[in-house]
Amino acid sequence: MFLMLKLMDVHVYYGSIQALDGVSLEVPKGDIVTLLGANGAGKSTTLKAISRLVNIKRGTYELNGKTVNKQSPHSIVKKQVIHCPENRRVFPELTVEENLRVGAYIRKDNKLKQDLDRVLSYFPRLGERMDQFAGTLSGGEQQMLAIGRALMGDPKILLLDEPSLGLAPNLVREIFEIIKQINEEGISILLVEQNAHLALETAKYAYILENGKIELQGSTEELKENDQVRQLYLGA
Amino acid sequence: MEALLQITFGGLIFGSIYALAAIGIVMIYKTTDVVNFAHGEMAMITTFISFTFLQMVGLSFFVSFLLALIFAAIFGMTVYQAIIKRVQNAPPLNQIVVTLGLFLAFNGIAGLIWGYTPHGYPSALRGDSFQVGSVFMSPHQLFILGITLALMILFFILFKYTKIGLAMRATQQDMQTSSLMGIKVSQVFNLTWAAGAILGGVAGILTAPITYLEPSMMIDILIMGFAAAVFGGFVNLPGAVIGGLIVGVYSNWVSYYIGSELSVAFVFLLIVLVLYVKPTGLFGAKYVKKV
Ligand SMILES: Nc1ncnc2c1ncn2[C@@H]1O[C@H](COP(=O)(O)OP(=O)(O)OP(=O)(O)O)[C@@H](O)[C@H]1O
Ligand SMILES: [Mg+2]
Repeated sequence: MFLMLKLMDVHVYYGSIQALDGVSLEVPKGDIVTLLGANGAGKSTTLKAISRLVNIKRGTYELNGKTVNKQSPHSIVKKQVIHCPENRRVFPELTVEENLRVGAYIRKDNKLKQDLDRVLSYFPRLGERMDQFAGTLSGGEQQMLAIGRALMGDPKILLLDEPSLGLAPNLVREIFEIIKQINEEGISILLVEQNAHLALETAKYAYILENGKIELQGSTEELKENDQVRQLYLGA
Repeated sequence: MEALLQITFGGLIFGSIYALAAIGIVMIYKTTDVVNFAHGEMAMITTFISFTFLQMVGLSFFVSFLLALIFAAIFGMTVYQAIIKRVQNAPPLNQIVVTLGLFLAFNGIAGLIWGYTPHGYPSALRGDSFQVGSVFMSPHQLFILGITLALMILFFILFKYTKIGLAMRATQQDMQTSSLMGIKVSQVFNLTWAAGAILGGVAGILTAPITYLEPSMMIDILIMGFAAAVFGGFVNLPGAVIGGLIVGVYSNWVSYYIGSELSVAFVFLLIVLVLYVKPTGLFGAKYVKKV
């Protein structure tokens, strides 16, 4: 039932610029794993490598022990690894309902209605705005829609890129509660965050990325006590 | 008054053809970000192909029509795959040079194969004109209106209610996120070029009985189609349709009341005025596309 994701020594380039310089990480079954790091460290690029938006020049990417380096974004989505991108990226000129339908685009099973109900129970506000264009939603609502749309793809592993970006603190808390709930229902999560406090509270395991390299990793319990982490990321 | 009605009706007929040309252009631009100046010449080639089926092979009008549209679909995809795909992310100027080059190439190829002598092209519906109120109409004019209307409805349903239509709209708005949803965007691009070429081909086959069949038959249509697209804001399909009808009626008025040599000039004068007042076109909104 669970899917195991593993990156080993992954290198990614944008033209001649190196963005990832040998990233290795794992998302074990059913956990929340967080990926932290400064701006430009390569967090989003790591998620893009996983969803196959960028080319993996060197290294290995495995799902359940099978190498998927060269597969298309489509086939990664089919394997139920769903990427909820940075900055929400809802389709502005599609309605909320259509956005959710695009999220379920590749699915052929008949659990759609059930999943829609589930998404709307997480985010009742979306239910009241089904016919509204997504571009007219507030930032918070757009983030809810982006997560809901990803859930409509029926993920086994959900990749979340900065879900707290630009949201008011109480809304951030609300969204993180839901992220935990989603995880409790059996979905593994790889969470990219700027908000290290929150991420270390939420996740079980953390990786810290600097200049395209994993500098530090460990259980969040450990890292919260680590001096370097406290200084650089927790502002203590 | 009677003349005005007649001229307006005639304008709507031309406008329908401009609208068909314009939606193809806009659809392709919106989805693949390429302004296809070869659109009209691709339509002309499709029209010649239908003529070949019709005259040389001797098939019926509708069979030739359908075969030509299948050809158009394959033609559109091939042009996209073989040429356009490579310049899809190139600067606009490079793209313009490429599609203008295709324009010249297709025009020349058609001349080589079929020659430059105009051929008569039959209409699906023959028969005498008849009168409705004070307006004379021919069966072919009604055929143009009918086909245009049917295609509009078909495309409306396609975009609004089908899964592939949803994928096309999503891809138009955000290509990268669409592929994160599992949409095969390269398939969407192929399909868009196929559909665009079909729409152009229909415009060509409807035009040929009015003008003549010859390699330059679509040049005026292309210019007016572009005018219609600009009118509609270049991103908006219903806008392109209304733009086409406005351009058709207005240019027919100019032809009749002022002089036919001035109709294109007056159309562009109107466009300059519209863009002066509303830079995004009549129905365009500010539109920022994410790639
Ligand atoms: N499309 C691109 N073309 C060229 N360079 C890029 C591109 N996308 C990212 N980069 C570069 O790759 C590096 C890593 O970028 P990435 O977006 O992965 O960082 P990030 O950790 O997600 O940062 P942030 O916290 O600001 O979102 C940066 O130096 C960035 O400038
Ligand atoms: Mg990022």
